[in-house]
Amino acid sequence: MAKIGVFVCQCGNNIARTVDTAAVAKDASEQNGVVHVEDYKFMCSAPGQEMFKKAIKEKGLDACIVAACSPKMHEATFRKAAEAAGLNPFKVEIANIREQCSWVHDDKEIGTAKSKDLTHMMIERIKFNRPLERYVMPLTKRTLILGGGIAGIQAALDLANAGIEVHIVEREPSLGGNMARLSETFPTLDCSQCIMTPKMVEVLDHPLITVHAYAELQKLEGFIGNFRATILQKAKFVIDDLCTGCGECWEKCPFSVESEFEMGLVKRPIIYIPFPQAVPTVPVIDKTECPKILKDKCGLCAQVCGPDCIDFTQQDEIKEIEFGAVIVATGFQLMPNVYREYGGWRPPHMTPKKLTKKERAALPRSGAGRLVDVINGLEFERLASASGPTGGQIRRPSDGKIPETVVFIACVGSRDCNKGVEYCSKICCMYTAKHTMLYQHSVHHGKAYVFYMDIRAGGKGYEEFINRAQNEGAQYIRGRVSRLSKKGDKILVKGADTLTGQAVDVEADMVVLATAMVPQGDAEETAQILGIGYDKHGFYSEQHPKLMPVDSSTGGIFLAGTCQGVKDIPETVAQASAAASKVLALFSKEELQRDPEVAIVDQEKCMNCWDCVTVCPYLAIDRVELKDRNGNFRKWAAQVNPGLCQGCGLCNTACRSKSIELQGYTNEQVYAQITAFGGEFV
Amino acid sequence: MLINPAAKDLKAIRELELATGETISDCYQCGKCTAGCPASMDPPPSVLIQLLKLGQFEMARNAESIWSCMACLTCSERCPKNVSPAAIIEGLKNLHLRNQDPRVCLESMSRNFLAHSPQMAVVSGFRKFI
Repeated sequence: MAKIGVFVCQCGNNIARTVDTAAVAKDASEQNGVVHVEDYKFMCSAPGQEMFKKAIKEKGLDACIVAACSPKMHEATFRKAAEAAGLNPFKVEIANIREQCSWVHDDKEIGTAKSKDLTHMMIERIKFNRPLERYVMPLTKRTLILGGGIAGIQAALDLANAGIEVHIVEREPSLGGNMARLSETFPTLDCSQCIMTPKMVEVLDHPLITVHAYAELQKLEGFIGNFRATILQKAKFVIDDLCTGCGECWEKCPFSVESEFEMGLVKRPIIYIPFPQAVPTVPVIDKTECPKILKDKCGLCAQVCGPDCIDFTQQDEIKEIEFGAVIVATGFQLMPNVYREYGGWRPPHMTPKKLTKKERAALPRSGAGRLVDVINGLEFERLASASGPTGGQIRRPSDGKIPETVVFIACVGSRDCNKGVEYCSKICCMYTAKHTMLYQHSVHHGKAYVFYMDIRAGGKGYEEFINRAQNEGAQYIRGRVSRLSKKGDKILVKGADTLTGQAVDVEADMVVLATAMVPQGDAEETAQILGIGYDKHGFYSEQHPKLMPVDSSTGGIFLAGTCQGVKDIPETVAQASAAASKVLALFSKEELQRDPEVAIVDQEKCMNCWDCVTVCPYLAIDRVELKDRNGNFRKWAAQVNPGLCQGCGLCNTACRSKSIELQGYTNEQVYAQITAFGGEFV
Repeated sequence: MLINPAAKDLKAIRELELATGETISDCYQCGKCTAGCPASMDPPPSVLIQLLKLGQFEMARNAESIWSCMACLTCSERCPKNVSPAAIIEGLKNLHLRNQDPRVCLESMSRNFLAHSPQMAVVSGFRKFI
């Protein structure tokens, strides 16, 4: 005979307002098998839990029901208390009489009747609860970091300095990401390269960090603590260990293509490092362009290379490495194709080329494709950067003239549910203010106009920075720009000042668009490789928007930086450190414990239809061969990997032979629950 | 011109929203409609919509500038929030007609013309005489 204890919580007035808890307790005490009943103000408080533990010990209870709030809130609390009192934690169940009862009813009579039913159902159910043991899993203490921008670098250094082995996978030939492109950073105007390159070098030199530059993640299998990553190392055609980074090859290369790093403003050789401070300083050959690889012509780089490290026969390489945790720091891009909105178009490099007929046809009608001097924020950063294509002099792309009037337009693509994205990109207000300062520091007599809608400068020293920009002479005009068009060699900006209700026309030499920040173009494919959730824009979803901001929807995968949402550099660094500390907390144990509420297969009954394998969203079910004692093949059967299983129950419902059972939610338990409810009403 | 935000003409604004199918409260006053308006309306479209957001329906309806709108739809095309200022202005003009406002002299038109012309065409026709 079961010895069940029922603990009814009043939750202050939360439950007691619409539920007569004393009546619920009295009713429960009359149920078959119930030997102990309590009705208390706050069961989750310290005295409440003491009462709970004492009752288990003194009355020798073998199962407990807590009629209180949602199991999401306090199931773990009471299971822990039961464990401390010597009761198997899976013999504790919660009857939810707050969220699903007292909060949704006004009538005390109905609320009380419903609470009684909910408690009955749980009493009947718990009679079939089996004591379960947690699974113990091994743990690989090695971390994979996807992306070598500032977020990845920060997380890698934090982890490696704590003694954890780290591998960074970076798709470009160098670490650095978008931050390496910036000229100076707000609100202190310190040089981005100067604060970033020491960290990049530290990463490369750290004995615990391995950098896989020019590599991509192809596949990620496994589960928290036991991931197995397949990394594709793209062929560099340069032998890493021999190369000294002397630069002979990229100086001699006779061919050139647009530089991705310089946003297409200049050309780069085909054997290249993206920027002079690149880390690692090992060039790669762009195999889609190199005539030696395509047509077996040239090969000049191999002739000039002193250490003889160029190898045209190199192939892509696949590496398989085991990891315990993953930090995703894949970053952002600026919204592509915003020029079109303003009727502008920019040829891909500094000197405008003659357009082909097809290219001309693809142009927007207005602007007629000659608005070369409309650039985006990152392009302006390159123009202002001392290591950029103009050596830090701000010159406009079309004819290299120093612009006398520059119009900066905020919210381009952001806060625009018609042609762009709905959200605010958060950093544009600040970087536009920074751009006006950089411009005016470079061109002293220049005039800077900013078309803005709202200034959002919430941050340490941010409002002061905006104020400084306005005091230094930038003219802020509150309104959006409607259209850009060509007027002589200038650009006519048709805007408005909504504070006076007047239209404003400015003739500008150059226009800088503060373009919206959007996720990487392949963010969704990456999410599918990793098996993590993402929102409609492609930003990766965190587990809880407030309380779990760095956990992804999958255990053991953490998020850092702008792949999760728009952020500035300080926030990115803070999140990267937070992700690193989460990994450290995970790695602080020697092994992992997993909840036993997962599916198990009765392999003798399994008739291997593999429906469960098809429906499992977590790829947790394997096909295994069963063998007899002589080692001969006997039959196929499904097997659940408890490390991957999340206990969703899909396989349970799909199983035709009824051989899969979800522990903690077995058929007996659920039937008993339903019968306890239906018994009175049918 | 004194605006009393407490004296909101909610009924008329609701009627206007129903007539045009637009959600006026979506507007965040960026001014892109004003910036692109080729008719140089005064008060400009963004101010008219701000008046409606404040509930000052009569002020918006009696604004001279609604009669200079050419319905070129530039503002509607460029609005980042999918509020169509052109439709709202057209709606304001329509409500003049609906309320049989003496401002528009229907008697000057022949019955036959009115019976066989689409409502929008009649409204556009009136603009020219004012």
